[in-house]
Amino acid sequence: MKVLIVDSSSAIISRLKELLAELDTIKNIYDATKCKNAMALVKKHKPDIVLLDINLPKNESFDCLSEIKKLHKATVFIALANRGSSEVDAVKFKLKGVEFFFDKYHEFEKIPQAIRQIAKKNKEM
Amino acid sequence: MDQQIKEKELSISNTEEKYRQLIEQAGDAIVVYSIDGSIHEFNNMLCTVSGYSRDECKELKLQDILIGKLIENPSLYELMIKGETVTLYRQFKKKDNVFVDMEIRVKSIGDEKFLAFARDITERKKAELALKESFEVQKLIMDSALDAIVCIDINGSISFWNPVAEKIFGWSSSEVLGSTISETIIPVRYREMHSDGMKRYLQTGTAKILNRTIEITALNRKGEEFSIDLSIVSIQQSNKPFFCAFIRDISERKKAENELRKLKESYLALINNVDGIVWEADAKTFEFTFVSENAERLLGYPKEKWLEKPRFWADHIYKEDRGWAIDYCMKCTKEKISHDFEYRMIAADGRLVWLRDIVSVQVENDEPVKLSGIMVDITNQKISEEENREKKEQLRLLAAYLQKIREDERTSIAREIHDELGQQLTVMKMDVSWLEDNLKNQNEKVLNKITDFKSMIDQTVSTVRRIAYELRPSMLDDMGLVAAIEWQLIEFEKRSGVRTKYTGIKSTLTLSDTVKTCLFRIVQESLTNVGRYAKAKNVSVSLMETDQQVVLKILDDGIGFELEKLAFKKTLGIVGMKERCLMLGGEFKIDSTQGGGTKIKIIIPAQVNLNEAIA
Repeated sequence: MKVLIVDSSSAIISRLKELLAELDTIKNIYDATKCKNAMALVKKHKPDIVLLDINLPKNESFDCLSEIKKLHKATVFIALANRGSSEVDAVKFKLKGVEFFFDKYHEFEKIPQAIRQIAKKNKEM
Repeated sequence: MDQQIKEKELSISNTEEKYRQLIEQAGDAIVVYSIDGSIHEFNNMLCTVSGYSRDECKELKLQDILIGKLIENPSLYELMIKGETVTLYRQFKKKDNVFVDMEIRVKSIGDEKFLAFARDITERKKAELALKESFEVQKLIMDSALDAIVCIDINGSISFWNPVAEKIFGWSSSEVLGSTISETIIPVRYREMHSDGMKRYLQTGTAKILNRTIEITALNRKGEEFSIDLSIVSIQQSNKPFFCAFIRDISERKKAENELRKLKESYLALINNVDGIVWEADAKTFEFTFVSENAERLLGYPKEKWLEKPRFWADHIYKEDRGWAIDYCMKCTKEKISHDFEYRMIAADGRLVWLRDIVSVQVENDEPVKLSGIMVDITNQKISEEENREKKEQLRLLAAYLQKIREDERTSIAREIHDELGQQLTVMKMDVSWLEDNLKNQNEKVLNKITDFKSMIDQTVSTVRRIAYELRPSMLDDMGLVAAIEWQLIEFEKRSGVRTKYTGIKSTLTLSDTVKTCLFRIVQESLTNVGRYAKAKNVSVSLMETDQQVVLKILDDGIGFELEKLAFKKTLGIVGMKERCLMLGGEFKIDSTQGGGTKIKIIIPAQVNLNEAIA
């Protein structure tokens, strides 16, 4: 599976990459700090999973989500928040088609598990 | 010879007859008597005077008709004997016992006989007495007059000088009678006028000065000049004119008049110095009867113009103020109450002058008769007031703007703290997690340390989130005021155990950010106070909205506090809360009684767009 990480912090991106390193289902990890770059990568590589930071600067997370979906419908999104529990955000993104919604700080350990779930589902499909 | 003797006897007899007739016709009683009083010869007049008949008179002795002794005055008797004619004044007693006054001239005719001519002077005496009495009365009057009376003859010689004249001029009557009035009491500069006047009178029979009262000066004995009221009349007495002057010393009066005049002047000066228009007007027509000098200075119209037309006041009030000002004045005048009002008048050069008019109503027989008052120019004050008002408004907007900037700053700081630090701490947590995963074979101490490390990072993240939230509750921006308040209340209830309740609107989309922040901060501050001091069981928050305003109420059932104690207000941040409200043009009311809980009510009016307002 191909995973795209979109996060404003490169430090976070490197840690996330580390976290996902042990997952053998993942063949390629791409990353971008800006939506623009993310779009380009989506076009080129058509990732299966996108880890999307919902607190991208200029509030572009939501639009980014919509744009990527347009480009590649099959993408599964895992939204990562870093603002404490924001019910509104969760609802908002879930409605837009985000499958998983995690708080970066408290729940990052759940990410690998979520990816495994997605991989399983893909296999079944 | 016989013929001659006969002729001579006839002639003598004729002469005797003539004399007899003369004697008989005489107006006086003629008596010849001897020293013992016996009457030898007498005329008819004696009968008339004495009331006795001829025959009775023949038998009379003088003592019978004379009152008193025959010889009353021995020295006069001596003179008689020597041959002198002596005049006596005695009284006769008539037959009917009436007394008559007699003037008697007696001469000795030798042979111890006397010739007496006696004249009834009763009438004369009566006339003399009446005259004397009349003189006495006049003198009494002249002497007791309160004015000085001085009489002079045509030469100016003083012929009469009453006691009051003595007093005011200092000359006694005896000293001054006969002196020329010109040299005694007339001041030098008037002397020519006096002599000219006299001359004119003697020529024409009139003079300007007669029969009227004039005010002039006179000299006293010391040569001091003093003011007098003078009236002069001319009196004709048996073709000899004399003049009577009635003089009153008016120096006291003049002094009083002077002082009164000075007082009036100083009052007038005072009135004219007052920095305003002191005025008087008729209560019915509002026509001015007096205005002080400043009238011209203040409005540019000369005083006379103010008094000329009855409608001056009404006509010169600025048209916008005219209606109500006149109505108000009329109403107060009718009710006889003093009043104080402000209005504009139009000056001569067209500019508007703000006046404060302080009016008193004078009442007579329960009716208003006169109005009086003072108009003060308050134009500058009004301008200042307007400027002040504008400045206050500007300050308020500025304060609101600064507050907004503060909040914006806090928002951005909060965001930075939260996002940047939060992000970095997340990275740190991830690293520790990695360490944990990759150090499983380390000894317990190392593993414990890692656990502690993780725990520390967790605490740090909590703190960062808390600080960020306190700086700027993201919830306020994300979820709105109501959600933020409700969340606050829930957290508060969790922490303190005080039961909370929210009632009111569910959405605050119409409120500006500044207002939302203000209300949120007030709820925040109030809950802090309740938690710290109130010892309450319940606290409720309500938020209501209308077209014009939003109303926030916070109530608790705690122990309350004394509103007057300034210290409390400081601790409870009441001043700060009040300022926030005032900045938005709103009201802040707090009510608290000891043991009766605390009520806070805030009203914020619909807001003007801040940016537009400041530009």
